[in-house]
Amino acid sequence: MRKMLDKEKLVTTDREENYSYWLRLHRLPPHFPLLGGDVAEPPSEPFLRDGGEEMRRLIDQVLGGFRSMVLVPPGQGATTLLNEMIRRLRASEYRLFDLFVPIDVKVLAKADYLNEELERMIREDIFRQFARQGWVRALKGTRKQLLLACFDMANEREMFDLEYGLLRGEPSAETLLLEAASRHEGQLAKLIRHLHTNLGISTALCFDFPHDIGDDAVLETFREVKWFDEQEKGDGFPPSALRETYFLTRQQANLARTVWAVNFNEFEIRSFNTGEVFSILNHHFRPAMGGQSYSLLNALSDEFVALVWEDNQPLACMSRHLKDKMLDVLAAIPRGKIPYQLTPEVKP
Amino acid sequence: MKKREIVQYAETLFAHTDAYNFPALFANRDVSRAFVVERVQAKDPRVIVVSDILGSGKTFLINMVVNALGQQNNRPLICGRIRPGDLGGPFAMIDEWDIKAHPKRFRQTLDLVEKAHAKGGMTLILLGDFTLKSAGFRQAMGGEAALAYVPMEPLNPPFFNLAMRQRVYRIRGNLSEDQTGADRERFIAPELEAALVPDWMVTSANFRDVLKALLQMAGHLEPVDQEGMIGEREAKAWLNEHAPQGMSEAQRRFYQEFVVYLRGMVHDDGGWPAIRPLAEGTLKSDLGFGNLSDEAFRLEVVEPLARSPGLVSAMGTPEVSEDGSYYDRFPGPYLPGTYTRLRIGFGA
Repeated sequence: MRKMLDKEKLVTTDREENYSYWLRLHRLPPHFPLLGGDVAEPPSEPFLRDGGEEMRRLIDQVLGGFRSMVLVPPGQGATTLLNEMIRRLRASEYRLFDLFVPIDVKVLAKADYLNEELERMIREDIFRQFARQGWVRALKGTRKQLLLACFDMANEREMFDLEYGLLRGEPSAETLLLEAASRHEGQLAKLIRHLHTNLGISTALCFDFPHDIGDDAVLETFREVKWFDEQEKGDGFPPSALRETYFLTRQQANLARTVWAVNFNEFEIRSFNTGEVFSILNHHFRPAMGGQSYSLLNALSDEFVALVWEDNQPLACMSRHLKDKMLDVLAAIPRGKIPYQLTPEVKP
Repeated sequence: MKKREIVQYAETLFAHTDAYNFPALFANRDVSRAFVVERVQAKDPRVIVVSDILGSGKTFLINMVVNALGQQNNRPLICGRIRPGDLGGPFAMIDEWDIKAHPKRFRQTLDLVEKAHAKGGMTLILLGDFTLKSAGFRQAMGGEAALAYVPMEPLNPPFFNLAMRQRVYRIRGNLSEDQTGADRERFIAPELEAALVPDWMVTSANFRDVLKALLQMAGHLEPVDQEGMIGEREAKAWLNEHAPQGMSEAQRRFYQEFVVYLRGMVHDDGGWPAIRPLAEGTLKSDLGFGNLSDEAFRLEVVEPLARSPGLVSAMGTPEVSEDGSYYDRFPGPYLPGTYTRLRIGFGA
């Protein structure tokens, strides 16, 4: 009788405990295999398809038009793509005379007056980039003087002081920056036109729409941009002064195009396939042993991904299902028989 | 007109009215314009309401009136952005009362307007889509007697023709704006024009959508010195380029049936009959979706297509809930959108 009870205990070992043990075995973090959201710090280098070729085409598309939509399957890395695009464009070995301004629509949607928040975000980011990215060193002659005039500064030393102060996180430097930006409050179109006409610098707005944000926020954001386009730019606004790029899902793009019939250049990012999803997991999570990391495939069969993969599904959703599958498998295995490589088939 | 000229002037010929860099003329809206001028000059105590579909030129119309009345210093306000103090003067026009607005902010603005109107002594002009004809809006404003709806000219073939004539004259520079009686040079094939602007377009399409499609089609025209028109070849290329993406299986099946159903109505000579808006129930039973519940049919089949540009146009009256928590944006009945009308005429 006692022998039978022990045996039963072995079989019904707590699946969470087994899971935790298996993670420790491979030195994987407790949040494995969850992806997306605020689960953990993303890796320093993002996962890019085709060795970055897709990113290069995306950049060509964005730089080649004044109004682009980048259609990303829901929950499949729109923010990652946007951030990497901006990082690459800002880090270009040749300075592009474009200010890339990221706009988080989730933050916008929380504001009481979306238009004011949008205007503030753009204005302050423009000034922050001028102060932080050494523009005063890149511009010469009257262009440099006009940039200093935007900040109400007499010479470039003051700009260097501001840059250093911001770098050190000094509150006074932040105050100075915000004061300079606030002097142009309510005059965004005029500011963008001035930067383009007199300093030769274009502004590029990059809107990041979370896939799960509601229709209200999508429509209201496009309404503000449309209003700016039609009413605030005014006659003779140079088309090349402002570039707009929207990172959003196809459904969101359709909704926007239903209410604003203008030409958008479209660039579609295709859904990750099973191989790529596993590759992303492998990129985020590396098992380790003896101070060395190795491929996730040694620890986890890629057949798990095939079981949970669905077209156009958020990565966060697939990774949650993946964890459920792993827990199911581990629930059926006694602790003493947990395998090194986990596969969907239970081999008691 | 030579094909090269069509390509060269496409941005002007097919510019939407507020295009800032290619000023285009707008076909005169004599009746609506006179109505607004008369009401403003008579200090009509009612609220003047311009309610029409998106992209029909409401803002442009009111801009013309405002300029004529010498009120150009009164910048238009925008629904959702208004603060209590903004409605203190004797004259205010408030734009963008439409499905792009956030329902909560729509309601907040409505409250402010209703209070300002109740005080009296103020000329108020509101511009928006058919939400301004909804029961909720009428009730909030104190009923029918408090509102003066502007009679809008239908967006029908004569109106379209007039707009096109004016643009040709602008390009040629040989006739004044008012000399619009003569035949214009042809640059759109008659069968294409019939599909783009049928008689019953009065309720279903907007010029912005049609002009955008024509501009994109002009991009498929060969830029050669040979007389020509935008016609079947360009329409087919455009259809191919803008094929709908991301439909579910049920939506795809519905859309195919919808096209076949409507194609059966078109005359043998390619002429278009007057198609009345189709109720959800009719579409559900006639297109073989009787097995779905009404709610599932609407939410999973018809409404997603109404939220995609050019496929299905929602003709019902949008309504904002009383507490501002919900906006019913795409209610039936439905008509074919621009893409679908071209698909019926020129597609597979």
